Order: sequence, then C-alpha cells, then structure tokens
Amino acid sequence: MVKKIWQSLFLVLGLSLIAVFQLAAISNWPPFFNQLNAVLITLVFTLFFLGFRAALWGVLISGLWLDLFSFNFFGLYLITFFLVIIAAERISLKLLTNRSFYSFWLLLLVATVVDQVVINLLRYFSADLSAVFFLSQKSFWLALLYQGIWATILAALLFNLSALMTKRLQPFFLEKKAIV
Amino acid sequence: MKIHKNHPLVIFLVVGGLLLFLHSLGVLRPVENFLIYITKPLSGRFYNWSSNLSRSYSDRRTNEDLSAKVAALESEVARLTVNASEYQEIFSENEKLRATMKFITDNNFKSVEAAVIASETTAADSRDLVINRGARDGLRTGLGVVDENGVIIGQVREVKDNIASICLTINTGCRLAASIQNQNHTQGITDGDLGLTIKMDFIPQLEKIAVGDTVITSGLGGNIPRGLVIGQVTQVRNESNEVWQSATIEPIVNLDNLTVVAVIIP
Repeated sequence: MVKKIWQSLFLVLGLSLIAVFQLAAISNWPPFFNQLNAVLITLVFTLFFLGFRAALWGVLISGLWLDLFSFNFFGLYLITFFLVIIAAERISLKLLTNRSFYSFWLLLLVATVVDQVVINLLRYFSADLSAVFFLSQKSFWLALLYQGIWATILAALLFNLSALMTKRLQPFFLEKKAIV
Repeated sequence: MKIHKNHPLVIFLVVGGLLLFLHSLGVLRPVENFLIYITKPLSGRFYNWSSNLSRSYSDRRTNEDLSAKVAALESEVARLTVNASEYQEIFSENEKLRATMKFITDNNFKSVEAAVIASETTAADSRDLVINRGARDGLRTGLGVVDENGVIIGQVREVKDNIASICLTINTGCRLAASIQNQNHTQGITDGDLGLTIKMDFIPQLEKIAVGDTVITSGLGGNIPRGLVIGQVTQVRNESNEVWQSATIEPIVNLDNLTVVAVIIP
C-alpha cells in the first residue's frame, strides 16, 4: 500500500515537472532539440512499464498542466494524449506480443505520429479553417521526422536503462540440450 | 467487450469529462489560477535556463560561421570607409530612433513589465511566447509588446487572468499597422512570414521604398502607439507589370532569446 502511494506521488510530481519543463524549457531550445516530446515519451513509457491505468492518470496530469498554460482550446492536450494512449494500448494488445525493444520503439513511433496528426487536426478545426492544411506544410513533416528521431534515440536509451534495472526485460534463450 | 464501471477508461472519461465541463462553466478558474500562480516562478526559471542554453548554442554556431564571414567583412570595411560621409546620415537617423524610444515615456504610456515563462506552438510554423502577466494586470488583446530597448516585438494575442500569449512580429498572422520612413511615409500592414521575417504586401508601385528604410508602427487602430520600430527593409520586390510591390523587413532585434518584455497600454 505504501509502495503504491509513493509510486502515485512520484508519477504525479514527475509528470507535472516534465510537463512544465516541456512548456518552459524544451519549447525554447534550438530547432531539432525543441522537437523532443518529453511528455509523450514519458506517457508511452508509463503505458509500457506501468500499465494502462497509470498511463491514463498520466494523461490527466500532464494534459491538465499543458492545457492550463495553453492558449489553444482547453482540453487540446488532454484529448490528444488520451487518443494517443488508446491507440498505443490497442496496438500493444493486438499487434505486439512481447516486451522487446522493438515493441517499445514501434509504440513510441506510432504514438508520435498519432500525437502530431491529432493535435494538428484539432488545432486546424478549432482555430482557422482558412489556413493551409497541415499535411501540405513542410514544417509538419519536418517536425514529425525530428520527433521520430528523438523517439528512436530515447527508446534505445530508456529501454536499455530499464533493462539494467529489471530482469523482466532481459532476453532469454532456450538452451538446446542434446538428447543422449 | 464488456466494460466494468471500475474500468480505468470509465474513470478517466468521468474525471476528464468533469474537468472539461467544470472548466467551461468557469468553476475551476480559482484552482487554475492558483496552479498557474505557483508554477510561474519554476516555469520562469526553466525558460531563463533554456534561453541561456539556446544563446550559447547559437553563439557556438556563430563562431563556426565567423571565419567564413571575415573575408567578406574585410571588403565590406573598405566599402564602408569610402562611404564614411553616410555616417552623418546614419547618426541623424539614430537620433530619430532615440526620439522614438523617448516617445513611450514622453507620451505617458503605461507599460507593464513581464517575464517570458514559456512558448507554445500555435500553428505548424508559428510559436507564441507566454508571459507572466494577464488580464488582472490590465492586459488585453491587441496591445503592443516591446523589448528592453523599446523595439516592438509583437502583440498580445490572447489573455488569461494571470498569463498572456504574444505573437511575434515574424509569426504568420501577427499583423501590425505600419509606416515606412520614406519620402511618402508609406502606410501598410506588416505580417509575419513563416516565423523568419516580416513582409509588407500591397504597396502601390508609385511608392519609393529603398533597402535600409526603417519601418515603424503607424498607430492606426489605437491599440499600439505610433513610432515604435518594427524593423528595416532588406528587400523590395517590384515587377513593372504588377500593380503592387512588396517589401521584406528584418527585425532589428533578436527575437529568439527574449526573456523580459514590456506591454504598452496606451
């Protein structure tokens, strides 16, 4: 019980801090570096390692923080992250059968694409329909590429770090014993 | 698939839906304001830290480019020496600019100092700044925002109780009523160009615009006072068969690392 309370507290504080850091620091970094989507990566990490319930609470916490400071409509990040986690959960249940690096990587890539498409769609329909549609804008595809690169780098880093800490992620091989 | 009432999805939808509903009613406003209030200092610190980081990164990049620029600058120096007489002209222009800066204080405009605490993507090519002042400090949509030197850097796009978003002059959709300091004091509207420069379209062909002309706010509209420097003309596009000509304007300040700004309340 105490462990669960600490885990929840850590999740709330950690995600709040990451959300504020994303808004205030990462978004102000030079091009390419500012495309690091730390909140999204943390949410997928939470889904992959802590499960669907924890990820949904994560969506609530980080979505709320980002929406508080956002000047887009309230709920933009909440809805986007919710759809991202639902998509990631469906994929991990239906398509991915193990907890390998490739599963985590694929999950992050899919989450990145869903996040970018959903957030731009919502922005497009909520703000200015006369604006150029985001799919035909070079900056959208460039942002997607950069975020994909970040997702790949961080997938490798986070997965290997996690594998060092837990035995659940260690690969194991069945030994072939010769029949005498 | 049967979903139990204790399913995390159901709980999330109830809590999330309730949050959105209560926000739309305005019931959550005190809580939201409190959360923003307690986070602003931390956010400001993060922003300043990342701003310093970006500046040092950009300085490093600049150093790499410097050696390539030295040769070009040497010939530029020779040309400038020959044109020394033009300095007098620049001096007088500088005097005018200083007078423009003095304009703000002389006209008793109230200004609200603000710190930049975050930035947010609003469109694919547009990034707004978030400042730590809002409607409670007297800010409203459309007001002009200047940097510490009094150069206009954007305008207030939206306000909340404690914070406000600013569109930069280089962002698409950030339109300012402007005037070029040429013979005819050409009037027009400037708009950001893909977050890189500022453009001024629909200028009649008869107007004479030159590279180097200073562009200032015209004061039309009433929200932004006249005479604030927007930038300098760096390119003029005029085809003889076109009705209009257009100008590209470069801001005279670096808009990448703004940390302190002032909102002018006329």
